[in-house]
Amino acid sequence: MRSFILISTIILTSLFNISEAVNLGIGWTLDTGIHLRIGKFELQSVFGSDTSIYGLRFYPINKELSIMKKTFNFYSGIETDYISSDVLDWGYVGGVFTGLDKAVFKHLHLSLDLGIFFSTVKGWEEFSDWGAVINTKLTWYIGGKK
Amino acid sequence: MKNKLISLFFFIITSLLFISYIYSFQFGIGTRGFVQKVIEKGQEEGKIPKSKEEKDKPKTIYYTGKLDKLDLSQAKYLFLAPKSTTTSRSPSVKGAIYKADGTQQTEKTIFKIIEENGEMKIKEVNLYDEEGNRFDVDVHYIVKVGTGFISIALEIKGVFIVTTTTQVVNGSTQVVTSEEYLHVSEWGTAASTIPSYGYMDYLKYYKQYLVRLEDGAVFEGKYLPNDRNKKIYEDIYGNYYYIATWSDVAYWINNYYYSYSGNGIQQGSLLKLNTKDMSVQVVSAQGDYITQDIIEWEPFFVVDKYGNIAYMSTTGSGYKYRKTTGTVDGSGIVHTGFYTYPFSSYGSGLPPIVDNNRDAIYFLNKVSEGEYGFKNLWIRRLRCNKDTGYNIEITSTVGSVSDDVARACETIGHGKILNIGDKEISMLINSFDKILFPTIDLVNATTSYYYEVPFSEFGVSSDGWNEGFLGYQVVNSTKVYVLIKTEGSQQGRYRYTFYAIYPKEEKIEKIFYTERYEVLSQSWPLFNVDEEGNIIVTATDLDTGTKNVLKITPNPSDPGNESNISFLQQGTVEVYYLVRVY
Repeated sequence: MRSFILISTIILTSLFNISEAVNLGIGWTLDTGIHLRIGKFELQSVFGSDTSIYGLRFYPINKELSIMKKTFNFYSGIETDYISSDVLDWGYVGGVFTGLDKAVFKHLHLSLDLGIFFSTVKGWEEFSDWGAVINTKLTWYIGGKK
Repeated sequence: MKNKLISLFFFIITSLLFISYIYSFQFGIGTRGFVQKVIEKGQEEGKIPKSKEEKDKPKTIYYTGKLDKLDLSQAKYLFLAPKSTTTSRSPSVKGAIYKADGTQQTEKTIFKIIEENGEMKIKEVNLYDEEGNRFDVDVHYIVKVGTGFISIALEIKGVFIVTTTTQVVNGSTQVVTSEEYLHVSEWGTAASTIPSYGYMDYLKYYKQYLVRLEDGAVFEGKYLPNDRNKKIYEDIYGNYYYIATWSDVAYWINNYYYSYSGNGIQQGSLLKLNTKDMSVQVVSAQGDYITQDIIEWEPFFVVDKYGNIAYMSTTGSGYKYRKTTGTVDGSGIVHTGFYTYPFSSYGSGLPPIVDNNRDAIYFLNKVSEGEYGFKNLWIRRLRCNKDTGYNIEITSTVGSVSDDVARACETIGHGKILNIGDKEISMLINSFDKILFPTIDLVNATTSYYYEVPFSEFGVSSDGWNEGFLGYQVVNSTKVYVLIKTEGSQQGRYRYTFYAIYPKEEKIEKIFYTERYEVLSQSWPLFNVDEEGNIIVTATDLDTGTKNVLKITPNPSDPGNESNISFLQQGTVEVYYLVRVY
């Protein structure tokens, strides 16, 4: 437990130290998950009693937009996830997304994006499917983009 | 740039609205919602288990109850365990799958049966070739026999299969048997029970114990009334065809090696299936040796409802009859005694017969009299049941019958009991050129009634076996259907005609005929009769080339009308085989 606290403290301290240099944020993904934004990368984990997802987002495209005299951030990227589920041997998700980000309160940003995702899972047999997904996230930026 | 991005963004949103295939159009659902939808869809297709418990458990249904209460529509693999299974063995079945050209593609364990927490479970059921393509082979039905044998049914489409079974004996794994591979098409149909004298290539059907399951769901939900000539038992897809089957029990030969030299079954090779609980017992015992003529003839063994077995001995002249204390409801059969009933001095006897109610076993024996052949038919009734105190009772009657009857018995050796009482017995005896219906007065030892139908009545030659008489089915004690094949009006086509014979009324009716449908004459049995007297037969529609299962309603007033036909199954008829792999 001590080592866990120590490591966590070091990581958080490091994050705050680098927060002035890169975008750093933590947030809530609105399908019961959390995420950690570091620069153009985002680690996300979505929890569920039966299915959990652990993934990585990459945001290579970020453009500032003004829509109806309000400033938005347009972004696009790719996402890949690993699925953990009681009913699966394994499962993976991959896809592309694009969306808008807006500061709604001080450093709190709300983002909304649309993506096309493909998933392959293995239960008794392998099964694949694709679909369009809306993702919403609330992110509190503690460094960089404030 | 900004306008382009905005346009692109709204274009994407707008276009998505027109895609019906969209997941998660609910606020906040996100990736997890999408994944959940994928999983649910996979579950609907049966590729993903619906719970952890289901995932951990092999996709197998364990069942020890009544078959008719089991919903088999969801069953991919079915394991039927006898109630009194001892689970000390851990057998596995290995299969080698071959392509049609005979080249081996893969050889691996099809499945293993393992014991886990007191349950027998099956693992490894999918078959793939070297390229990862899944073979279209599904295990549909598995019966584990209490002695360590396994019977499985495979739905096989266009592949070869070789199976071997291993079992653990005294701690070491041993291969019980292995078989050469056969293409399923070579298995064809099991042997016919009715015709004889070479219209079938019996060598082709030496795997008669491979029970044919055909015409699935034709008789769904009920057993057909069975006598010795209706070897039908309802199974998950429609029917089993067993060598000797009644509504509550089926017997079949467990091991068979075709040989003209007369190899028969060996010890432990006559299996009994209790259809009430699907338990299986070995009912033959040390010293049993049943003739191989089960293929060319009716099975030479019979079993009454008390579990008593009688069969013709091939090692000595005479019948063997064994008293047992087991019943069809009992879990164990105890062989308590043997009895050998000698043939007549002349030599061969007739196969033993059991009456429709299986109350008693009958031995028919010919007695030579003078130089003019046989003029007597002896009938011995053997009973061993609670009324006899489970002691063997032999009721001996000498019946003096007509020469025709005795001669027919000599020629064919097959009789069927249509009706039997203490005072008389009505029989059907199939001769080479006629069907005889004698009724024998058991009290006065005379032939009290006699009716015969020569094949010429049906427009076929006297050599009916090879020409046009395909077979018969006993409908009930007063009615028999026969199927006749004659030249059709068009060249290359035959006319198949069903007749009903009412022996007591000495009446024959043409009840249906067709030239469009070619009866699958190698099917086994040739045709069936349901409880309403309708004929069930598999036939090829010569106009379309499709194989169909027909239900024919007898119509003596308009026998040629195709409206007498209804289709139980139309188009390609799936064929299932019960494959025994020990």
